Amino acid sequence: MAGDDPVGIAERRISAAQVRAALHRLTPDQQQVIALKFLEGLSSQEVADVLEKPVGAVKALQHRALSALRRQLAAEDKERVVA
Amino acid sequence: MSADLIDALDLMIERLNAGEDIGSTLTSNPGRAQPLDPLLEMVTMLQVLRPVEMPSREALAADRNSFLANLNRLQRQSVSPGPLVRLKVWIAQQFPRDAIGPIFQQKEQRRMSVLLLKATLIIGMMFGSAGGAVALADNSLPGSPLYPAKLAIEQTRMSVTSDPAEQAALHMTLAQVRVREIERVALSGEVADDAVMQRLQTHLEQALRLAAGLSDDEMLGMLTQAGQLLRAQEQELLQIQNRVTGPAQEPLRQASRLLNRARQAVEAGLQDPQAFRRGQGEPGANPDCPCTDCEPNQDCGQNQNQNQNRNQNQNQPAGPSVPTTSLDGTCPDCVPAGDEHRYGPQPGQAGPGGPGGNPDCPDCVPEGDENQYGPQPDQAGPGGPGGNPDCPDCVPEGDENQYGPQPDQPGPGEPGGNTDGTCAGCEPEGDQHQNGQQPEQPGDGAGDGAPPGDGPSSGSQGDSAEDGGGQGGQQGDSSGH
Repeated sequence: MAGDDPVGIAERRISAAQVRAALHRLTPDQQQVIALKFLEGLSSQEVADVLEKPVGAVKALQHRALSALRRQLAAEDKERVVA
Repeated sequence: MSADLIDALDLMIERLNAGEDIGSTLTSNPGRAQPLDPLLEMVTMLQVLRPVEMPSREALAADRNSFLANLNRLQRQSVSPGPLVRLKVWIAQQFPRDAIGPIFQQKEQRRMSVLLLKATLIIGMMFGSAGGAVALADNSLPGSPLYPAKLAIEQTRMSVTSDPAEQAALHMTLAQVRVREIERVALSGEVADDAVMQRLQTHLEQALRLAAGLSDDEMLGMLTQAGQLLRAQEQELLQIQNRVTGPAQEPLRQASRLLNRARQAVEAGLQDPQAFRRGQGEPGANPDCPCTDCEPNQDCGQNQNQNQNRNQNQNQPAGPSVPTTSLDGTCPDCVPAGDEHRYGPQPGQAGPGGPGGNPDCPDCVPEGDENQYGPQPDQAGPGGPGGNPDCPDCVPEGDENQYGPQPDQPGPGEPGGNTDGTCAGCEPEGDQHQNGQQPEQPGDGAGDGAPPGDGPSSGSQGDSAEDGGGQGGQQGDSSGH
């Protein structure tokens, strides 16, 4: 796998740091949904139960959080290229 | 943002978490691939943040035990030599093998040592035999097969010596070698070859000639050493002469004479270095001729008779001039140093009287002989002061040049020459030039004595031989006494 070589490991660590930094810039609800959904491996229903929100709202938060992460990482990529 | 898009995204995320990849997930709903693809990429990146599952305690303990087991196995299989082996190798590298002993010598090194030993033996045999031949030649005597090799070695030594001082010292050393050869030959009851004597003479002359070309300090040092060496060799020759009888003594005497003359030259050089230099640097020296001060192309063999006369006169007291360069006295025509005008002693020729010519007045100097033109002992000359043993102080009238007495050889025309001895100061009439009688010249009255102008002696023309002395040339003056 490409991720096992040193270059892959380095890229992954950089990505992890960037993603973690981008997560901190999300709203608390979005951070909770992302953490429970993708870090803890819960399903949308389980996240909804934990957050005591409707499943639809969790899915909507999930979509908005992924879109926000994408925008922030894209913006960081543009800044890195310009620099 | 429609609910369908949100539901499709959630559905695809579920499938990604189930293990599917993005491509297969998107193919299931290609109409939503355009907006969901970037989001699915973000889902993949978020999976990096998932915590790694820690292994169980049992698994950790098993891994640790396996690691320690491998560590022990690697320690037993060391990739470098052990400490003792490393120490031995270090000692073998730092110290010579001879000091360590044969324990560290390996098979190949023993073979190499054997080769070296063989090479050493071969080289030793080759050069050892040559060295033995040289040693044998060193002890060879004239006439032996190795003697030419000895001379060649000496010549080689001389050729490789470039310093004049060293050459002079080497000549003295070789002269000593020649003397030893003469001694050994004489002790064996044989007569040394004349060539050995010639070589001895050549070495002595060359040594003196080279010494004359040195600086003052070097020359004096060289002459001092040469004088000591010559004196010791003379004494040694004298002792051996007493042990040898018969014809074997003659080479010893000749060698002793050569050494004696060389020593006299050395001593004169110590007293008057400049005169010594002139004597040794005399022009006309022919290195190829044993008579080094003879004229070039001169045939010294033609002068054997004169040489004998000169040899007979060699015991005469030394004059003020430095001894001639030639040590053998075989070149009577050679001119002593500084005596270009042949004012010096002329053996066989009557000359003017000089100091010491009169045995009764050894210190007197004839008037007008400021140049010390030297005594002519045993040679009769014109009358001079002291010519008459009865009147040693009388000076014949008109003998202003004091041409000296000729003791023990009264002749006609010589003051006091009359047998009655009563006329001490009388002068033969007409003999104002005091041309005294000429000894060793037949007094036949025919005037066939030494030709006029031959040498400084003005007594070439004898006076009257009327008294029957039978000596002295006769020319004109027959008045007698």
